[in-house]
Amino acid sequence: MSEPLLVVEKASKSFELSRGVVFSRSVGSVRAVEDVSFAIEAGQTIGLVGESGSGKSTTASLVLDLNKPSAGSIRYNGVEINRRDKEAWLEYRRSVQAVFQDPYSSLSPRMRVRDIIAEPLETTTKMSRQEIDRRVAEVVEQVGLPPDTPRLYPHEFSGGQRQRIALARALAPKPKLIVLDEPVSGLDVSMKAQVLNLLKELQESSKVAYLLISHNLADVRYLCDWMIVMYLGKIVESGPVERVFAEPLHPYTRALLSAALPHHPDHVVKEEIILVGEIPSAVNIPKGCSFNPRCTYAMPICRELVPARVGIRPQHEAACHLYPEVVAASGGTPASKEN
Amino acid sequence: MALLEVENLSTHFFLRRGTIKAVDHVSFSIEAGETLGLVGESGSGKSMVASSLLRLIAQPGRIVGGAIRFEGVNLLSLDEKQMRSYRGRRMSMILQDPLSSLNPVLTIEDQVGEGIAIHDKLSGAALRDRVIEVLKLVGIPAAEKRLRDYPHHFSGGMRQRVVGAIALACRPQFLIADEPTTSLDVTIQLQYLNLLREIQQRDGLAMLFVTHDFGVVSKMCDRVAVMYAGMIVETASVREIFNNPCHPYTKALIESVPEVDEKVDRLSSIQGQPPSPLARPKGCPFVTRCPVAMPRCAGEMPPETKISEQQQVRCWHYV
Repeated sequence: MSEPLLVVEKASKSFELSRGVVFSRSVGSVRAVEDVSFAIEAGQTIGLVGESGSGKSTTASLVLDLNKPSAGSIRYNGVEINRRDKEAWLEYRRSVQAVFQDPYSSLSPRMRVRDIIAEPLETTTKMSRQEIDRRVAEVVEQVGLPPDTPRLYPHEFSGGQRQRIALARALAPKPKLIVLDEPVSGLDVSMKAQVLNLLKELQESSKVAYLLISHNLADVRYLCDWMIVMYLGKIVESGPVERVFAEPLHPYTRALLSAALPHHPDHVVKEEIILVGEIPSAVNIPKGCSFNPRCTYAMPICRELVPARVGIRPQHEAACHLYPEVVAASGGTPASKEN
Repeated sequence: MALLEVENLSTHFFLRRGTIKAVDHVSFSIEAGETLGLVGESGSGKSMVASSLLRLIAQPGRIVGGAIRFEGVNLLSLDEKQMRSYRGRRMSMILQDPLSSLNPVLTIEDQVGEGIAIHDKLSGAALRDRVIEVLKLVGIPAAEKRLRDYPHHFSGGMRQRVVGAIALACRPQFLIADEPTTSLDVTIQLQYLNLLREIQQRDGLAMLFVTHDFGVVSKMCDRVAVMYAGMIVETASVREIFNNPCHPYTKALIESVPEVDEKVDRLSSIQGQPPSPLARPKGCPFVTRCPVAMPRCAGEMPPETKISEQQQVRCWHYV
């Protein structure tokens, strides 16, 4: 089997905390992401879910090469992205694009839409002006904006249309992967449905892969094939979306699913799990499993030993000591318990 | 008699470019202990209804007509001093963003205590005891030790609890919650909604819950009013709005939101965008996007039609 489009292997990122301005000194570090591994195949959509502070956006910034991992590697088409020559670097910049959450701050108010969309083409390709103009017109049509869009400025558009412009910019260099960081959270319901549908259609026609960062489980279920649940910088569960929804393995995933309120009053949540407290600060991570202080099922071993992430069902992994496989893989002695 | 009766309320904004009818002939009522959800997209006028109820509309906006009757008293006929005895005391409000609704340079004690000191004329130890009591009510751990803390010492979820404490400090009968959980994480949202529910059941609080999230509506509300372009286009019980949505906008809105508990292949989306507030259609405001619009819809405003005891709709298809 050939290597997937993008492979993230044991990537960690910590940020130094410093005090003082002139003679600044390090006073510790924040672990934003630790030991994160996953792979994206061409044309696939992976959803990265978790609450604020879970490390989703840091993971995205590593994939986008906006931050360098402190440890671990990220490979694109089998090549380590931090060890590339200029050519390969440009190729990566062209092939991996991003759409951010807020379409008001992610588009320069002083640039015409034509220049906004053309920018990635001008910096990463050798296309001529005419070719660029043709490509801009093409993507503007693809995202369903009127043909006179390129000569206008962003302020002349609504939130939903701006997000279409951001998407057009991401599509312009014909990328292989688009990182979507909460692309519809800033949009109204009716605009949101339009953009979600558009994302689906574009993927069907161009076979681009998506890495969707979202806190909205309904959006993830709608758009993704595969999902990864993060908590305090670590992956706690991953698997095919439908399998995770049908049988969530990690207690945190169960709590997240139970907190996503169904719309119809007759569709009641099977078990309402109300987590105590809040996500702890990344400066002060609990010992053992990071989730143990909020977990209803916490056992003594959870306070001692960091759970490893292993397959519990086919393709479906979790890092939780409730499963004997995990205890064994983490180097503990499996407790003699019934389930 | 309902606790709150709103009749033909209209709030307009007078700009040089024209008049914006932010709230246009809106009527609804809320009983004691009941929760009415107000749903709609941004710009539909939901928050303007909320601010109008407390008469907190700033220039160039003005409430131009209608009546807001609270326990039978028309709030629009009160002078500013009389109105102040309602705000924060009998009716109060929780806003969306806890960071901007708290003052960063005042302690939690000062902010929660302000309303109690003004309305209940408490001071010193009695005031402090009440503040601690209210902070405990909203579930702030070790409340006694947090009085001298500032908003930045609290996390987002805890800040929103402090905002809740301010709103509930004087034991109001009516609470307006304007998207109180939009900025919170889902697990924290669930904690907060359950807390509001508990307090409501204990005190028999009436609530107006402004939101765009149908999950929140189902969990919190008894009835729903759907707003579009400044008008309420449909009112119904929560069950009716999902089982038998009548207005084409309500139908489209419900169908366009992805659900957590089922996998759909394609969302149905509402085409186009809401009309500009300066150039609204003459007839039904939804006519420009409505899949079943008739010639009549563009020319004349549909009247309100009663579908059932609790359900009313403004659409020519039901007249």
